[in-house]
Amino acid sequence: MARIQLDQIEKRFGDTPVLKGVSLDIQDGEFVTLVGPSGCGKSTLLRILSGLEAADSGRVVIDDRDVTGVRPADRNLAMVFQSYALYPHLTVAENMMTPLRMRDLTPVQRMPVVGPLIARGPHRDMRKQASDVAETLKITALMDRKPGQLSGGQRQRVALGRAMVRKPLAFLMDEPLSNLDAALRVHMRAELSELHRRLKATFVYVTHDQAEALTMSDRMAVMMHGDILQVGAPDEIYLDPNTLEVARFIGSPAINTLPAEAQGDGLLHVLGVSKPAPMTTTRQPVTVGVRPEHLVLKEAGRFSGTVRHRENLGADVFLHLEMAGLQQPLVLRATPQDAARIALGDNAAFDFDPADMLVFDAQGGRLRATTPAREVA
Amino acid sequence: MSEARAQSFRFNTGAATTHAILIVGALIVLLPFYTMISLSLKAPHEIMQQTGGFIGAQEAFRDDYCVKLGNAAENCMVNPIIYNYSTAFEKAPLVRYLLNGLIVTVSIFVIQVLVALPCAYALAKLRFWGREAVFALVLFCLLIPVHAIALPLYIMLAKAGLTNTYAALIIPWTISVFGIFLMRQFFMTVPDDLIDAARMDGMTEFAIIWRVMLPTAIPALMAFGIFSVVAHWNDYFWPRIVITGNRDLFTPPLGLREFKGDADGDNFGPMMATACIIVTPLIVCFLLAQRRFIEGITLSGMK
Amino acid sequence: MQSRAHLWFIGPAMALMFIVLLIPILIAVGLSLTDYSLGNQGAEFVGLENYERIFTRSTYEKMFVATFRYVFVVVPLTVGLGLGAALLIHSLGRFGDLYKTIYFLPVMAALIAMAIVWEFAFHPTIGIINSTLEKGCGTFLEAWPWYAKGCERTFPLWLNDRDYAIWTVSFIGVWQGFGFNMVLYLAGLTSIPPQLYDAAEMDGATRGWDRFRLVTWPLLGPTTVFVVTISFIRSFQVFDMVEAFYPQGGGPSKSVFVMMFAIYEKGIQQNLMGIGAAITVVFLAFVMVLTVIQRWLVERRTHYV
Repeated sequence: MARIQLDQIEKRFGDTPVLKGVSLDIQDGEFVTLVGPSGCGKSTLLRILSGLEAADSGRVVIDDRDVTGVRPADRNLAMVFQSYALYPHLTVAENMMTPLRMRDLTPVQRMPVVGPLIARGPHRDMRKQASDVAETLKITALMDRKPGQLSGGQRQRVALGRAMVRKPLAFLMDEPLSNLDAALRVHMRAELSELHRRLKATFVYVTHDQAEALTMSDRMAVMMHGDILQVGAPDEIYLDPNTLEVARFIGSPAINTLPAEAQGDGLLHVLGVSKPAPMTTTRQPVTVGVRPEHLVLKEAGRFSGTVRHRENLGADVFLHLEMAGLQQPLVLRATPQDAARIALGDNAAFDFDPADMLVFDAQGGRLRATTPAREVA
Repeated sequence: MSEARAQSFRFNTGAATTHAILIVGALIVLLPFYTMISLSLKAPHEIMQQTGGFIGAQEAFRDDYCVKLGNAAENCMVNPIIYNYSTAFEKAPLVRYLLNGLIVTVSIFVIQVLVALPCAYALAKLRFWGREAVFALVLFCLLIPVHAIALPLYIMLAKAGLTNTYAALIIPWTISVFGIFLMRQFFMTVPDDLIDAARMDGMTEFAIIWRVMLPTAIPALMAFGIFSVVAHWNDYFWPRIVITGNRDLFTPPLGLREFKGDADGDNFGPMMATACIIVTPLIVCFLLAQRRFIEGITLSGMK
Repeated sequence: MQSRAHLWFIGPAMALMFIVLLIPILIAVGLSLTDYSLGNQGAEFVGLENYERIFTRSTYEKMFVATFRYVFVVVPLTVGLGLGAALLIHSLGRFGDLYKTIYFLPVMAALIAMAIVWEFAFHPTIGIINSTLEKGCGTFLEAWPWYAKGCERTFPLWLNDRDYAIWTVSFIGVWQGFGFNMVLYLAGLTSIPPQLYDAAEMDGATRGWDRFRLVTWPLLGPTTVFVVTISFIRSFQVFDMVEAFYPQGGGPSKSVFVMMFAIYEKGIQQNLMGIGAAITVVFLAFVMVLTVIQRWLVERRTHYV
C-alpha cells in the first residue's frame, strides 16, 4: 500500500527542540512502532507524518510523493487517537461514515435532509462500506448507538472502524490502547496484530509501552530526546541494543546494570569477578548489562546476594538480590522450583554466561565483540 | 513549500479580517463609555455645541446657578471637571447612595450564604426523609424570576409596613435558590470521607458546615458573591418599586435616575459624572480580577 | 442518625422559599381574579375579567407586540453576535483577552446608567449618532435612499420616533447582552476536545465551515440551549431602559410598552393590582414554559457523554 519516508525532520516548540533531524524509512505493509518515554517526540513525529503538525524542516514522502505541504486529508492516511476522538453527537454508523462523506460527497450532498434524498446512491454505498467494516470488527450491533453509550473497548473498535472505512494508505495510531484496562489492552494487542496481517496495510504505531512495541511490531524505532536511537526488529533491539539507554528502556523487569572495569587485555572485573570480554581493548570503566533471565542460580556461582524480595508471578519468580557495592538490587528470574528452595534473607549464589553480557562504555555506547566470548575456566 | 506559504498567507489575511471585525465591534461597544466619560469632563456649552473633542477645552465657565444666588460673576467661574463632579456630589447625597448600595449588596450576599450554605450541605450530604422533595422544590423555584413576582411581594411588604426600609430592599433576595443549587452541586464533589473524618474528630454538623465545608467552597462562593453583588448593585427595578421618596434609602441607580428626572440641558455634565461614579466601582473590580468576574457572572452557565 | 440537624439546615431556606417565592405566586394568581388595589377595603371577585382584558384590549395588544418585538430581535442577535464574537476571539491567540474584556464591559455596567448615556447619544440634535450621520451627507452614502432622505430632512428621532423606538431600545439591549453570551460560548469552545478537530481534519473536513458543522456547532449544542433560554428570560425582563426613557406611558404610541413596565405601571403607578397581577401570571407562564422547554431539550437532545 504505502512506503513512507521521513527525511531529516526537525521541529522545535519555541526554544525547545523536539525533533532533531529524524529520518525513518517505513516499508510497504510494515508494522512500525515508535516507542520511547513521554516527551521524546514520538507523538510529534506522528503528527508531522499525518500533517496535523508542520515540521520546521525536513520532508515527508509517501509512495515517492512529497507530501510535506499537503493537508492531512489529502495524504490519505487514517489516524486512531488515544482519546478515540469520536464525534459524540453522531451514531457509530455516522461516525464511521464521516470520512467517506467528506471525501466522496459534495457540500450539497452532505446537507442534512436534502443530501440523502438527492444522492441516494452514494449514501447507500457509504452505508454498505461502513457496515462491512463493522462486521469485521464485530460491532454491527452497536451501529445506532452514540459513543457515550459505549465501553472503552467498543469505542476503540469504532475508532478503528472509522479509520478503516476509507481504506487509507497507512494507519497512524497514537497510543490507542492506553485508555483501556490491562486485560483488554493485552487482548487488543493480539487483535491489532491480526488486523494488520489481514489488511496488509502499513501501520505506524506510537506507544510509551515497550511491551506493546515488542509484541506487535515488525520493526520498532526507539526514540529518546528527539532522536531515533535504534531501529530494528523487536528481538534485535531486545538482545542487541546499541546503547545503554535503549537496553534499559526495553525489557521488563529492566536489565541489570553492573559497574565493571575493563582491563584492556580482553578481561573485565565485575564485582570482584573476572569475565572474558574480548570487546574491550583498552583499560576503562564500563557498564555490564545482564537481563534477569540470563542470571542463573548456581551452587558454584561466583556471585552472591541476599534475597530481599520475591516477586511471584506464578510461572516465574523474580528474586531481588541485594549485593555489596550495588545501589539497586539485581533482579534474577528463577523457575518456581528453584525459587522454592530459597527464602527471604537467604544468600543466593548465581552466575551468568559472558555471552549474555552486554558491555557499554562510560558514554553508554555499546562495545561489540568480533568473536563470541568463551568462559575461561 | 509554496502550499505551506499560501496557507500561512491565508492565515494572515484571515487574522487581519478577524481583527478588523472585532475592532469595529469594540468601537461600538465602547462608544457609550466614551460618551459618558467625555461628557463628564466637558462644560455645558461644549456639550450642547458638540465641540471640544474628548476632554473639552477645560476653560473655566460661569456657573449660572451660582450667579443666581447673588454671587459676583467673577467668583462663579468654575473648571468643567470640578464643576461636574462636585455638582454630582453636592446636588444629591451621592456618598449616601453609594453607602446604601454597599450596605444592601453586602447584606444580601451575607444572608444568602447563611441561608443557602446549610441547606445546600443538607441536600448534598445528609440523608433524611423528604430530601428529594426539598430538592425538587429548589429546582422548581429556580424557574421563578424574582422580578416577575414584584407585585405580590410589594403588597406583602406594604401590608407589613416595610416599604421604604432597608428590609424591603433586602428581604426578597435573602433566598437565592440558585445559590443553594450551585453550592449543592459543589458539595456533591466533596468526598464523603472528608465529612466522615470530621465527624470522627468529634465535630458537630454545624461545625462541619462552617469549619470544613465553607473553606472548601471558597472559590465557588467567590464566584457566587461576584454574581450576587453585580446583580444587586446594578439592580434598578426592585429599589424603584419599594423605595418611594425617601432619598436616604436610595441606591446608586435610583440616585442617578432621580438626577435624570430633573436634569435640564445644563446638567448633562454632572449627570454623566454621577453615571461614571456609579459604574466605576464594579468596572474597576472587574478589570482587576477579570477571570473571577467572568467566572462569577457566567456561573449560571454551570447548570 | 444525624439527629434533627437537617431541620435546622433546611428550615430557614424552606421558610424563605415559601414566603418570598411560592406564596407571592399564589397571591398573584388570587389577586388576578379580583379588582384589588392597595389601601382599599376588600376587593370584588371579577373572575377572568382581567385576563379577558389582557387578551382583548388594544393597550395590551401593544404590550405583547412590544415585548415580542424586543425579545425576537434581542435573542437571535445576542446569541448570534455572542457566538460570532466567541468564534473570532477563540481563533486569535494574542489580543483575544482584550476583546473579551471590552465586550464584557456592558454586562458589568449598570444598565440604567448606560441607558442614560445612550439616550444622550441618540439625542436628535446634540447626540453623537445623528451628528455623525450628518457628516456622511454629500458622500457616496447618499446613494442609499434612506440616508438621502435623512440628509434632506432630518435623521430619525430614534427613541422618540414611533417607528424606531422599539428597535432602538432593542439595539441597546443587544449592545448590553451579547458579551454575556460570548463568554458562555467561549467557555463552551474551550471545553471541546482539540483531538476532535484533529480527527475532523484527518477525515477531510478541510474548510472552516465543514469543521464548524462537524465539530463546533454540535458540541456547542448544550451551550446553545442554555444561552438561548437565558437570553429569552433576560430579555423578557427588560425594564430599566424603558422606565428611564419613558417614565410615563411606555414610549411613543405605547410602542415600547413591554410587560415588566406594564406590571409596574398598572400595579405600582396606577394601583390596579388585579390587572397587574394578571400580567404577572401571564409573564410567569411564559418564563416557565421556556425553562421547561430548555430542561426538556437538555435532557433529550444534548445528552451525549
